[in-house]
Amino acid sequence: MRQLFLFIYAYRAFFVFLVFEGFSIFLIIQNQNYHKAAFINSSNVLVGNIAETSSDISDYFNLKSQNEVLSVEVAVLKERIAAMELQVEAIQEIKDDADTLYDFIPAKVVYNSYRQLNNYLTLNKGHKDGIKINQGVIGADGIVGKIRSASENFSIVVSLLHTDFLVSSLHKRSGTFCTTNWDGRNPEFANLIYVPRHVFVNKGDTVTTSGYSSVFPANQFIGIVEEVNTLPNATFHDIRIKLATDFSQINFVSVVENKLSLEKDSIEHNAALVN
Amino acid sequence: MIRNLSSHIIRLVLYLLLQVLIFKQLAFFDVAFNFIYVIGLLLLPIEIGHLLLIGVGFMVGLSVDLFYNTQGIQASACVLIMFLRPYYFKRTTGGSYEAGTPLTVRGMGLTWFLVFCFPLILVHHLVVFFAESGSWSLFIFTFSKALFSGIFTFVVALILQYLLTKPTRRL
Repeated sequence: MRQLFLFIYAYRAFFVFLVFEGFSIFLIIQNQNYHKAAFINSSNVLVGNIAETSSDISDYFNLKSQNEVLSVEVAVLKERIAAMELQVEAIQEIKDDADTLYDFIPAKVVYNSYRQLNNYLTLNKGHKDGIKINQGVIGADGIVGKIRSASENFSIVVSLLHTDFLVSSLHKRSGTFCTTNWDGRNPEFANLIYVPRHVFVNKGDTVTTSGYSSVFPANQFIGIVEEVNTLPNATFHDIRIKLATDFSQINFVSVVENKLSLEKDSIEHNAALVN
Repeated sequence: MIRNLSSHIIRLVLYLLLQVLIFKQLAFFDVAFNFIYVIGLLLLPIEIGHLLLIGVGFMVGLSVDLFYNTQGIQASACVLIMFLRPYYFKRTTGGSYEAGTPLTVRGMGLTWFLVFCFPLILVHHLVVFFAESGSWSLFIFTFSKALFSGIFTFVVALILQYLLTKPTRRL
């Protein structure tokens, strides 16, 4: 026994190293499953507040470009309002149903990464403001990601730029159901997978969300087709899309609350459509 | 006894803040990233015990993980280089280290700084990027990221060393 203790004492640095390294590896493995909330993340109060202060300061440097973006958005929205006013009367009757479907919670991005292999954003809204896990997050130009975990005042978003994140998508022109996934290289581009080769896909085609999952509403912009490559013996096209959202410029986003998601998921679950 | 303990702690915290507030935003051509805080760990005074060194490495790595949302990745890399540091330090100095000499470029010389820091930085970066990618499938891409990031970190560290340390007076 004494020999054993002496042995451990002689190599104590190595054993301490093993313990710490083992714990770190446990943390990494625990974090592999991106559906599960990590216990070490930037939604805690200290990190959240440091991030928010830093973002408040850097916001001053972006005021000019943000103003330009906002004024363009205002113009687009005004145009759409004008067009929609004509349709409002026609849909007045079904409006009540549509109104109850989605709620949008505005939030500010206080921390953002887009150069890692798996990227996350931190928002300054949490449980308190009605943020829940698995809600979709949409920016001014297109989808951004979905909520992974939320604390009282902050929440973590799994960015679209996460190699495990699959978005149920729609190739607009042909109505083909497919999937968007990021390959971890360039934050401006993603891959569109599972488009069968009999579907004609052209450069410039629009890709939107399908609305089949309860995370995003249908018809939210994802990007446009940049490049189509089809290998001779492949079942699916090899498509690269340019993402609508510029992840280096995200500042304000909306979190989508699907009021019927629980009902939709539970009926699908009961029918064993999803596992 | 470690001299100027408080100044070492303050320096480490400053390196951490520099990392998460400024260098997190920096990248060259999407392949070169900067983990300057590693230098703060590597240049901790040599009098610190091995066990404490590993503990400090773990805590510092974990705090960077908090900001990067990469649970455990930085911590594991830091623990590894902190474990290797004393052995590697003995190797690079060959027992000729004079107790009390500050671990800086000016104190120890440019050659030592290169031979000591760069390989350990590279080990740290290799662990970080391969743990992040989680597979060997993007081997060339991941390896080049680690290599270019290592060079980037080392160059910035060298610039900071010359800017922030006082020239030592030699007799």
